[in-house]
Amino acid sequence: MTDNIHDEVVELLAPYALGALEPQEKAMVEAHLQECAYCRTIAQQDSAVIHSIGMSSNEYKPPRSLKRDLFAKIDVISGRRPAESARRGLLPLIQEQRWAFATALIAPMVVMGGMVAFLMNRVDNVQSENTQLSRVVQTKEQENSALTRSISEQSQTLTDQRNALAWASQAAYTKDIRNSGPSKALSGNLYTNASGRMGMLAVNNLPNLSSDRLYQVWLIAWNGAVTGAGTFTNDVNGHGQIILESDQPLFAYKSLAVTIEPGPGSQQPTGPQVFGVEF
Amino acid sequence: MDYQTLSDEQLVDLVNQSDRRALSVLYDRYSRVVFSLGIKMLGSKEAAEEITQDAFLKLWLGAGSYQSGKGKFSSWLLSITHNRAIDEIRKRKRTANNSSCDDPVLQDTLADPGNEMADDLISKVQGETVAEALEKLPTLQRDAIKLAYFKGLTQTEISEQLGAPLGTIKTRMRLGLRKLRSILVEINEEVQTV
Repeated sequence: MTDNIHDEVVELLAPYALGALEPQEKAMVEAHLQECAYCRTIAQQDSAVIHSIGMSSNEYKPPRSLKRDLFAKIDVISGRRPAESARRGLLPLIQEQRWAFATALIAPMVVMGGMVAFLMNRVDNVQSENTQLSRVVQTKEQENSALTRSISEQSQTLTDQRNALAWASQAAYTKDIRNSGPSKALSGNLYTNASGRMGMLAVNNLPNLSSDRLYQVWLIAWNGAVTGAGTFTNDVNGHGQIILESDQPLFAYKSLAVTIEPGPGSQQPTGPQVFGVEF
Repeated sequence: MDYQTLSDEQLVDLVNQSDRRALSVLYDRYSRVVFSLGIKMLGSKEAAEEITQDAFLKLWLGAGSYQSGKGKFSSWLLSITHNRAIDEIRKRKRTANNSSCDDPVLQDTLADPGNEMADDLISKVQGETVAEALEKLPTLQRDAIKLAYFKGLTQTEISEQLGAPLGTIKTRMRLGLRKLRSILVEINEEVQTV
């Protein structure tokens, strides 16, 4: 060691401690410090002072993530298992694997959404089918009602016909009413018992009436007095019949007539005559 | 074992045995100082974060190289930080403005003075002591020291910037450090007598 170098290094110890030397000067000082205890002591003292200057800097706080990242790097360097390094927290893991987490969250929602849409569509279809079935049931009920009415009417017709046959077989007096009215299709009979005070009028091919009209029977006396003898309607086949009752024998009247009257009947004939027969 | 009560040297021994908790305590004690120094020297939050991480990684990997007989741990750690920052400065060939607090990036990192742990208070007091001592230096000596320490300029660059001979700069640095040391000793003695 020469005094020149030593003196030169002594001059450089302060800038060396401050880090203000060029590389070649720094190398020279470090080489000298290996050999010179005096310069090493000065260098250590200068270093302690200088780095106390560094300690005056504490205005700024590092972000919390910095510590987390530091230990994550240490985990990588140390070769620690991923499960242990995951203890650093869920949020960084989510940030790193955000697409995987997003997919994991969104995919089930999409699937569930699709299932809900499918089920809603099925519900709509079932409701639609139910509505259609309700209409079919309603139609069938209407048809059933009509059929029931028809059966009832047919049944009534048969009953009437049986009654008419019974009267025909037992009547003491029978009057054919064909050609007794404007309608050539009209046919039927007037039956009376032996006393003539009870009879039955059975008519075929009567024209259908509106629901507010009916047929009314009149008995006309020789003196012109007109007495109502009851009302009836026809069935779907155009057949109508009525049992007649009178205080005096029916054939004691001059004639019988049937008119169309408004329901429930009239005091006197007001409508058109369908037919009339003289006794 | 309460790690918070251990000395820096004891913690470094534990770090040398790959004790993560010991490193964590040292980080909590010195990360603010290291980070602040980084910002002052490099002028950027990102760069300061990088060298802070580098400093503590170096501690983790090279704790065995610290020798307590050669100086305080804080000096050793700040030396690592300072050298790293100077390398960065010279690598990027730019000057850092260490006095600007108008930088919006830096505003976010300013420490909250109302929310400090005990260790932060101690280093804050130490920091204030050194800052006070620095302000007591003659201007020329203080400028030479700050340009070298916080700006990472070489003595040649400082000589050119200040327009003073190289020899004059060396002298200012030497005398400034000596003066600074005696001021710090004087302040410490005043504290001890109080």
